[in-house]
Amino acid sequence: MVQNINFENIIVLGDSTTGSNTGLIAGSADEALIDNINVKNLNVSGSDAAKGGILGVASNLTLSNVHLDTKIDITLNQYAGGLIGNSVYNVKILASSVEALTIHNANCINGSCAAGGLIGITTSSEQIQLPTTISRSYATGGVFADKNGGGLIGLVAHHSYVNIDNSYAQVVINTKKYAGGLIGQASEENNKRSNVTMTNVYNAANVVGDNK
Amino acid sequence: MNMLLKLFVKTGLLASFASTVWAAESYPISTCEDLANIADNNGEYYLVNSIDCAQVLNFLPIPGAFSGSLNGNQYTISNLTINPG
Repeated sequence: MVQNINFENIIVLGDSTTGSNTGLIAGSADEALIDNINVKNLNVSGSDAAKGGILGVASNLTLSNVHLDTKIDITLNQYAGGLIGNSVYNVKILASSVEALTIHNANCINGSCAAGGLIGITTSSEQIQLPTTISRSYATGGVFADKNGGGLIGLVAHHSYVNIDNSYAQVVINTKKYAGGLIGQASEENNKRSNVTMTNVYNAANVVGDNK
Repeated sequence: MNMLLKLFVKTGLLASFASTVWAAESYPISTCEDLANIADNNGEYYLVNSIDCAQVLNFLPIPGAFSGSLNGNQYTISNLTINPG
């Protein structure tokens, strides 16, 4: 468990020569608890792999009362989220927020990439259908991405399960392809659908996409 | 670090965070050097004051899979740059 820490003026750099899963608390986390973390002025950067404000890749995780309450700035080529880059399965985000977020995600129009206010991408397998849950949480700021830009989640990959309740985004989305106020794209592949439920969820900001 | 290992680099305060086991040993952290030198991946670490990392250059992610715990006790870690190189 990582808990009860305030952070101020933090820079987290990805590896300079190859992709690295990157986040303030850890590059990856499995079977972990993160509670009561407040971060002011965080900057996460790097190219390739998953980048999140708190975690690069997460599974079997509960993240609660985590607030990034000033600016976070992520530049990447693959998956970026305000809190988590890649949420694999059985992840709970509770009573948490990302404010004044900026995600820039360039040079990816032909690649696989996604950017979201809280989570970049949710992935899962057909066998493990445990959902990513977002409850009582929000994101504010802007997502500027080549594709798959969402206020809360950039891309919900096929097979993956997402439940969102009592949450919102006030995130300006400016994305060339697949822009969504809450979710950039919920995908389907080989007849395997993604599964999303939402209760009491909204976005209050502008969404701009070319829909090409 | 050779190129093969670099392919698996994970970057953060902790490289990798695994299931917490209840620790046998506990360790106070009072300086940024204490934080950078976390070595017992099953240990229970706790801040006893706020720490400023401005003077610590080349702060590397704590290696391996951390299964311990880190409790900030509401203190602040500031001016930290994590750079895997």
